[in-house]
Amino acid sequence: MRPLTGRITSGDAEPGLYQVADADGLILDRRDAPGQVAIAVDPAMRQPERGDLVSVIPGRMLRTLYRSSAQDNFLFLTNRCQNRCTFCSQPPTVHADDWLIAEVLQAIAHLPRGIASVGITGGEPTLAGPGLLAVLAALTAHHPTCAIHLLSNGRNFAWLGLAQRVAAIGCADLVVGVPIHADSPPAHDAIAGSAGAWGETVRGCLALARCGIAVEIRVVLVRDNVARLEQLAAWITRNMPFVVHVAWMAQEVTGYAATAGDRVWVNPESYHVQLRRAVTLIHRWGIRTSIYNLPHCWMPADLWPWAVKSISSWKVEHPDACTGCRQLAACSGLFATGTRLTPRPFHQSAC
Amino acid sequence: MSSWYRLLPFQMDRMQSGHYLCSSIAGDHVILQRETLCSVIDGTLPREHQDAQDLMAGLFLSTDGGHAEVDLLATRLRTRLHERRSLASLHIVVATLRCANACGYCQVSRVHPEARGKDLSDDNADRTADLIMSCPSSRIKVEFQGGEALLNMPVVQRIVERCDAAAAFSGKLVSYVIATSLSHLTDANLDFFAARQVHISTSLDGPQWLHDRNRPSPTGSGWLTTVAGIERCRRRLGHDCVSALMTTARTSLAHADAIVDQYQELGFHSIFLRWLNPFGDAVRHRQRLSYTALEWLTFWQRALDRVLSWNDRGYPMREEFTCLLLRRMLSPHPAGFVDLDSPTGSGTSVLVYNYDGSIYVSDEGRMLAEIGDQTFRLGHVQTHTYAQIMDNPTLRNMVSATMLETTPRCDRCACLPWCGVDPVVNHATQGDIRGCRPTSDHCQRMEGAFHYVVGLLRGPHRDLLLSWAAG
Repeated sequence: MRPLTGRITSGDAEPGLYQVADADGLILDRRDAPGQVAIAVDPAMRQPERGDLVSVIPGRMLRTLYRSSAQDNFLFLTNRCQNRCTFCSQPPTVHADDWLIAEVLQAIAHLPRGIASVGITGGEPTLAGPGLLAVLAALTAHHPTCAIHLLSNGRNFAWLGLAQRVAAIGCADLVVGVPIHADSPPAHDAIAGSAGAWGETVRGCLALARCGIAVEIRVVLVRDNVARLEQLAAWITRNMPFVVHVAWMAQEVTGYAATAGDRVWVNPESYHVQLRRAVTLIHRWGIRTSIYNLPHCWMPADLWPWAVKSISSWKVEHPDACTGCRQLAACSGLFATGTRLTPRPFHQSAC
Repeated sequence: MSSWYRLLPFQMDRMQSGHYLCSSIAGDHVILQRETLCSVIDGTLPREHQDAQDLMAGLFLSTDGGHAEVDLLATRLRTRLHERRSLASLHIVVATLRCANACGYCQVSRVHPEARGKDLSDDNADRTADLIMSCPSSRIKVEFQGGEALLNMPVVQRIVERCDAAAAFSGKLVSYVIATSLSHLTDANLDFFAARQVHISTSLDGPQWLHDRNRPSPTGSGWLTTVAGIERCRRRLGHDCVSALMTTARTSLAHADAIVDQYQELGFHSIFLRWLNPFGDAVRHRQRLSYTALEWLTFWQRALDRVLSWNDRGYPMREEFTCLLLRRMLSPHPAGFVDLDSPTGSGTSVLVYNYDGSIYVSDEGRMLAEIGDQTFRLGHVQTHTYAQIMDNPTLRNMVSATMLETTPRCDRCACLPWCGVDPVVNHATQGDIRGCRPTSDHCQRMEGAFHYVVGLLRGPHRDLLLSWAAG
């Protein structure tokens, strides 16, 4: 049975029972339950909300494609990837998953009119090939003002033709977020778990810039790159002065990062000095920069202005210990999915 | 045995310390010990060597099979040369050649305030403004010079008003600077500067005795007049709307600290330590005024150290020449300074309109004209269009002769990616626009300055200097 894509149109009259409608507002019809699709959701799971976009096989499967209450929604194109990053929170798979594209294309038709922004992620979305182009074209056709944030390792953009074809779609506001972990090939490749990754990623960034597509650099802070953050920042300002944003990202300890343990994990206190130098350098050259995923209590106060509440709403957690912390409102919080950081709240009595 | 890396092209210089300064063609640099350099070139540098990371990041070594490093070098080179095409962004207008001061080192050959026929006429002023606004640049800076520009304020106002009117239609951004000793400043002048946001650039050589000795004024102390003028400008226009430039005379060489301290005392947070160019009266009075490149370097280093020490004591202050050097060394962008542009910016990013309507490639070009050498005259505002000026054979020749990559000696200098050359100075001092490096003052000065800054970047003021580089 193929999954159906539709929107939750009514809440739980009965606990755990929802109704789903398709893009035209028709109630999805099933011979066994005319007029509605009844979905039963395990009470232990997150319950869908009215307006959420879901993919369902009644009685068997429910996946949420779009959360109406979340600010940060992602379209998931594939779970395949050429890289095997040591810190990967969502390890890739190798089998074909082309059906995801059809699902995403259906989802795009259901997205609310005037939606401000949407992310595209994977896996590595460019491995979907024509599927990625179709998704970008559909987004641009249905939601011409929607900002698109494409997370990619950038490697396939080393083929100038792909960058040119993406540029030709004419998305109003497309930013490609690309990870560069180090300022030299061996260091980056070791973290990305793939020989030749640095070269293709760098050439991909140059090709994107050449085609007028905005590039953001995302640096994940791991044991093997934090010693040279300042050098990496300098490298970015000299070699890629065109980037629109540089994000310094603390780790989510799940997936590979959880199993790799101490080979990946690094205590944030050990890189404060390097991070401060790196952020200052990028900022001075007029490039926007941010620190992601690091709670206020794990960085010095002079870095707070750069800290962003970056953890997706369905992944974030503010443990009980944070109650009453003076920085709670501004803080990124912690990954509910996995972290080694424990909160150190700033109470009234604290400094 | 095959190596784990391939060498990419780079230049090297032996420094006084015995270490080697190496620069990639993109302009990143490293300092290596002789043994390291030898093993790098031999292909025997160990992967774990402490300099290996910096050499890879600096694009000295290629380890990527797809040659991403080569693409980066190409992109960097293109960025540097592409941005040089900021065509005709600075326009210098000589409002008059009249000036009351009798500076010994006057580079423009000023004339007496009562002299006739040395003012820009209304008609030529209108054509100058039209020509400026016809240039392709979207951001235009107009700088009024003299003589003493304030002695011909009606023409200054006329040009500002005409340019602003044209800008209102074209959407171009035009900013104005007036270079003046402030000796004839009136309240009406200040009202005009405030209304049109004209920036003031004045000359201040240092302490009163030094300034007045360099720049004799008929009214007594020129220093007192200038300092009082600076105060008036700051009160009327805001603290940052007035900046000062110093020119190093022979007398100045022994007083680096006093000069810097004078700027600090007057509340300046910036000083531009400039050497004397061999033009105008500076040539005629060469014996009394001139000094060698090495003497200037010693002076500059001492003054720069003084500026750094003010920062150490909590008073923020920058040295502008050093800022330009750092910007060239640490960013992919050009400095926009005539001595650091390659190919030359004279005539391409700068144009000068003399008081008689003649157009020159640079301020130095019109200075030469005053002593009878018309080599760098590109035309006249009444007869030439922008296209005709750009098609001038002298100008084309200047551009092709100032690509340092094709200049003997420069082509293997470690300062190559940062440096530049002024063809007008070459012509004036060596009789040839390309010039000869081994006997060039410019070369000695720049190499010494770059080497000194390279050393400072490894010292305690590194963070401060990095902040200067970003502007």
